[in-house]
Amino acid sequence: MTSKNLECDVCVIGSGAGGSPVAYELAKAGYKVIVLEKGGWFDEKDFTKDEMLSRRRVFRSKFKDERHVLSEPNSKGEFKESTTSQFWGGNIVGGATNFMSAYFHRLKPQDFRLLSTFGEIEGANIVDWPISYEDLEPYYTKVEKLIGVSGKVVNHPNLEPRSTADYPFPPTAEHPIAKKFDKAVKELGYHSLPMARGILSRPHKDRNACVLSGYCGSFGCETKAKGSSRVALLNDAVKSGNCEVITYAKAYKINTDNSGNGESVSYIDKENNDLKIFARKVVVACYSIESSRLLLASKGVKHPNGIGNKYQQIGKNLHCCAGGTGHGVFDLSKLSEYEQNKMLLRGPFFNRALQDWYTIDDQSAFDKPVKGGTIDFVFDPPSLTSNAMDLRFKNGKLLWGTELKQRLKSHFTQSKDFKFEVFCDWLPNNDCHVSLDNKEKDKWGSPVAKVKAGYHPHDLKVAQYLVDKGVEVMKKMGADRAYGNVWSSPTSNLMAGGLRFGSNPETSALDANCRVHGTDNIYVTDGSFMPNGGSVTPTFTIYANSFRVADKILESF
Amino acid sequence: MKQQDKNFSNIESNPLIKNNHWTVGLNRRQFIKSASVLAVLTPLLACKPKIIVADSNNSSNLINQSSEVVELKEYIFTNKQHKELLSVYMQMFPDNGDGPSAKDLNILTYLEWALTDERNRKDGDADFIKQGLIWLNQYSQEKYSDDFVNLSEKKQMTLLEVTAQSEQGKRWMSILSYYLIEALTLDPYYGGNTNQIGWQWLKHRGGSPSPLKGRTYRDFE
Repeated sequence: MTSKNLECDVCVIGSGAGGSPVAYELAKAGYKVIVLEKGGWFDEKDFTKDEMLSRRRVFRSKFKDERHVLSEPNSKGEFKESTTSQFWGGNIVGGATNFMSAYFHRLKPQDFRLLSTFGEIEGANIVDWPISYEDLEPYYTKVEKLIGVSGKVVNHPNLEPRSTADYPFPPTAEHPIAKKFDKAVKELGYHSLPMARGILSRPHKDRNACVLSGYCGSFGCETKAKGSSRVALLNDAVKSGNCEVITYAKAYKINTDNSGNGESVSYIDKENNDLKIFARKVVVACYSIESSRLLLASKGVKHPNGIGNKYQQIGKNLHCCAGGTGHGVFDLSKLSEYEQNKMLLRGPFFNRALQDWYTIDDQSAFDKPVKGGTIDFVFDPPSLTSNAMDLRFKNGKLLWGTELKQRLKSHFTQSKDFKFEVFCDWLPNNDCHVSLDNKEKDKWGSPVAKVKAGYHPHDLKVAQYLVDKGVEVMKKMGADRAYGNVWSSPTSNLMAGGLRFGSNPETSALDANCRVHGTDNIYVTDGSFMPNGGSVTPTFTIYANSFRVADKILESF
Repeated sequence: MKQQDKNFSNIESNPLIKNNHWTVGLNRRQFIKSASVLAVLTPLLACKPKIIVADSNNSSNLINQSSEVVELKEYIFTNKQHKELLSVYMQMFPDNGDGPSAKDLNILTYLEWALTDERNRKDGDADFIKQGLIWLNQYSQEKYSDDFVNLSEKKQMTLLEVTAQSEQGKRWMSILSYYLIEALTLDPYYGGNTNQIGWQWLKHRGGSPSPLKGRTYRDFE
């Protein structure tokens, strides 16, 4: 363990999808990189398929050590604060990419031009991005190769432009339900899309192909097939000899000089030593909430309210993941044993998506075209214990005895539940942002982030529209029960924004190259930069943008 | 997260049994804070699971430590309590000809091991379970003039049905069922789910690699 101040060319704070591409590219180019990671270095040997790992939130930040303050609207629209929520993705080298499901959809051109394509929505802070889809396209292609994306491109009305004909890896094996889905969707006149995944379908370098265990999202991958930033990038970065990852390092302040530029990063190491990394460039990638928190906490002569906060833009326009979920439940007792076994098969992926309503042009629902979203048809990871725990209670009554046994058996063996997830934009608004809490502190003594998570009612309308479509598809597939609901609460993952990029320092936190306004050498490369999240999970885009910014940093040396 | 799992919300007391021990007894939090019982158990609660010193006076023939990870040399519950717990558990998860019973799941061994977990210790579950047994027997004596274990199955069920209708009784049975579900569904390495009997019944296939020595969830906490 290093217990002294160090110097480097680039100090990267956070080792997930936002930080690792920069570390990888800069180390490869010969620059000395130090990555500060709050968690430990765990790898394939540690990733057993043990539900207790996720139930106990092992590899996540400990609730007793650091809580968030969440301010959320109740049914009356009144905001209430609590400290019972956490928004940690992964307290581990590679961050949340270790545990992602890796649905890898690209954004589409209209996501970069939300304002000019769809117009203003009262109460929403919609803007166009300072870059276009074309600027990011080469980096999506790069991610597909380097991280390893499997899938099959099919032509459909909302297909985004591509510089390559297909993904570098063929699709992973598919569950028999996918054929049932394709047939139903075709009959409905929609377009079935094989979903791209950041998962290897065949070996690549020192990584094995997916072994189709069925334990994917929420679980670490034991074969290196999943494209975590640790597996795909950091291992190589460290091997280059130019990158050091300091684990259990809690960065708490970026120190700036008299001109307002980053000079060093203060952190607490595992032995509680208070140390500094002196760096020519500082890259912040701690997950959107924490990156805002770090900048707000980093006060200096030129930054009395936090780095880049001259116009109070730090922490603003945070967005969560809007949408909903739905289920199609199939009664297996109606099927032959052969069909039952096919439905109960675990391992191969569902891997289907619908993007027919990425733009909703339906006057029966909206008086003008609006931005819609994506419906992903997926499997939840096996969570036998958690599901069974829920089944103990029925309408508030505790079940026991034969009644409990019958309910468990029926749920797990006599029906099969297929799921869909809806993703649409959580419109940025004045009630969704990050600030520093003035009471709650983490175990290192720093004020924790206070997350105000207000949503725009438009999000719920769009989500409901898409959930209804998902339910329609499930019914067409023959589900005996199909239902869905929209969510208005923030999920603990998939958050972005808070430090959006833009050309105007008065309405954005970063410039087009993701450099903090008012500084020459402090960059932010996690999902904080996104003015809107698009209608897909953001990890693919975070990877791509981080590679783009890495090029800009290289140019700046 | 754990408290949510244990799901103590939406609990209503039944006015029909408002004078029984479950309702007039201490609530769980008050109970945990009460000095008398806690003081007795403090040395035990401070023990680490794998370094518990053997106590030949406190063994139980109802415990089956077949798992490599479960190394119990001293038990939280007495022989008498084991028998009482097994009686309760066999009503809660009976041998009804369809799937494993609580005994098949090795519930007592799992419970003993699970209660050595730091978080479960902090929750005070062992104390609450013991107090519940006392209350259950008091109630059994009042109603049938005998201990719970000596009652017929029908009478045991009747008592548990009444118990489940009171706030504290439901909490107590919720705690027991929490560990029962874990014994049914977790990897056999943790001491329950003997030879995957629970998984086979529920047509569940465990993942690979499964937990192994040095790589259990407790090793990472």
